[in-house]
Amino acid sequence: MSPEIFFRGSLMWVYCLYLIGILGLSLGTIWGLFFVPPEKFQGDSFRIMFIHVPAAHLSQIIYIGIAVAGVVYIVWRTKMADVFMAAAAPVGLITTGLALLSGIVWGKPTWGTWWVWDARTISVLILFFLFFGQIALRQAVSRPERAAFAVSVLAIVGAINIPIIKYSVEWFTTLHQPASITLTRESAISMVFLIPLLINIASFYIYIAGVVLAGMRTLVLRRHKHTSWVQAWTGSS
Amino acid sequence: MRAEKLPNSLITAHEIYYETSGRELFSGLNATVRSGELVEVYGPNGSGKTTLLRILAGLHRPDSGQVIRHANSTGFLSHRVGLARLLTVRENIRWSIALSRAHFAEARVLSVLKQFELTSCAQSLVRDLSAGQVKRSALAALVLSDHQLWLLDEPSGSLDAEGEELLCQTVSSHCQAGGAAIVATHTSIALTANRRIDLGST
Amino acid sequence: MKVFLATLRRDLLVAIRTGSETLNPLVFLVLVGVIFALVLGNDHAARELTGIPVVWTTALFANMLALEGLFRREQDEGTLATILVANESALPATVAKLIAHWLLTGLPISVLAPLIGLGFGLSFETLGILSGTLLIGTPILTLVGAIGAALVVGLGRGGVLLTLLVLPLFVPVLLLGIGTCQQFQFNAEYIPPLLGLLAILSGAITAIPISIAPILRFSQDQ
Repeated sequence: MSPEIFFRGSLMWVYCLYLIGILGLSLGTIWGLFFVPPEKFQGDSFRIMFIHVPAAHLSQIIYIGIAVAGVVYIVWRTKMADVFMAAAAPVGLITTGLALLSGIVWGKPTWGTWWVWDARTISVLILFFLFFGQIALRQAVSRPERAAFAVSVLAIVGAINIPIIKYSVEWFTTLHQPASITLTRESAISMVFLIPLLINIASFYIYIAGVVLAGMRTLVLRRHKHTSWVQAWTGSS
Repeated sequence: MRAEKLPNSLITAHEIYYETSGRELFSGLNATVRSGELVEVYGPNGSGKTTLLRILAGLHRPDSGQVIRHANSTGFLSHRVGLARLLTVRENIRWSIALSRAHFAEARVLSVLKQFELTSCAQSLVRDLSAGQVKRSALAALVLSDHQLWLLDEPSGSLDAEGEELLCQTVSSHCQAGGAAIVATHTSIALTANRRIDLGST
Repeated sequence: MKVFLATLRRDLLVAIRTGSETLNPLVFLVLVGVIFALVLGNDHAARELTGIPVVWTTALFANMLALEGLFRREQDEGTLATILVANESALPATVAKLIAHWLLTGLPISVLAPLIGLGFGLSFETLGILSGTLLIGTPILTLVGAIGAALVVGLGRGGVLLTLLVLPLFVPVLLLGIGTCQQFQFNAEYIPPLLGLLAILSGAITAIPISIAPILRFSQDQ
């Protein structure tokens, strides 16, 4: 796809994604915070779930997306794949940060401790560092093509590592602390909680897709600043 | 578009386009070098001589276009001469020969060392040599590696007049023997080039 | 094979001549290990419990320290470019470099680490397993680390960046290595994590050596 067609065609999408995402997030969050009854064991603190679960979910999806884009870039040298990686990495850093922070805040009232070393928390923490590595490596390399390649390699190696990390951490932590703590009582989640949660997860996806797309548009504009169509566009509007 | 192979061509560059930090360095650059040819790449600092040589060596990737190397083997010499500072001249030469899968012949090594006036310092570490001696050692290693195509980036740097003459002789005898060389310079040395690529002062 | 042997010999020779630079990671390992043992005082229970994690983690950091020098000298001297321009020789030469690097860091670390373990009052059997897991683990560190080192070669300020990129990837090796030793120490099932470690090693050996030269070639472009 040519950058120009992408740039012109994507504006409508950004608006739509933003609109649906923000509406959905407002609906799910208000529903979750005000209209769902308190949970039997956790009281009101469980409501953090409506932020925490979508953020944690999305972090992994964004990383998988970056790794797929990495493969696409290395195999076909698709420039848009690189643009996606560049736009998605900071967003991923923020969502993992959000997942970690909300997890910490949730952990204190629920388990009496800010941080529990278990497979999921460690995976998200490592994901945070992988996103950070993506950004740091890209900034360190001056030539865009080389940066794109380096970041792709890193993304792929990281993606291969995630299941290994999960497996090893799970094994290691069950060894050290017999499964007295589990993060979510999945069986305990009733439909009352599930519907607003699903709405929030879906809207979060849509909203973040809009953010990444908007970021890609900015990058396309910056990378093609010397071309005539960009100059025409910036001049006319 | 496909670059066609010409008879005897050792390297073909086809429609090379390359830009650095938004600045176009080459656009639509075509070149073919056949065996026996000596090509001089000429231009002031910043005109892209080094970049062009690195593209031809396969160390840089052009943004578009392609480089096809038909030569059996390519030798590349830049300001980073490619000698380990903690090895002796001899050890370096030995390794270069092994790397290029050339044949190691003691008599030939000795005669080349003598030709480059390195006999006395063959056993000393590269770290302890003067800049000119280092350059001579690098040239000796290049000669002994039996590469078909030579890519030389500013080979005359830190050589004295005598060394420069030696360099010119070496390059032209290499080309006469069926090899080819692409040499980048900003000063004119007494090379009898068949052709010249002038990168001008863009 | 000729290229491989010549490069291996050359790298070992250079390492011997650099002397202290090759020994630095090992000295670091001993120093940090000793300091930890010192800080823990004479609390035997605490030492026995922390001995394995401390020694393994220190060994990992020592490996990390050495990693930056894997390609940097060759990049500065221009020999890396020579290797990469010589197309067919690039693979055997890079493999030789990786093996030489392991022989100079991973292997001595695996031999030295148990000696530090002695200071923590670990039993001889446990020290044996410690050494064994390091012998399996350090090649993985060298291989995975080589990808990182190849990505940052020529970037100048590569050191901290390399640590940042590679350390998250080292976590599984660390956990499985420590896990194997501890399971053995406490008479529990230690075979599964050991197999996990071996599986990672075989995966790394299959995939990584062939990809280093292309990554290095790309890293020249800047």
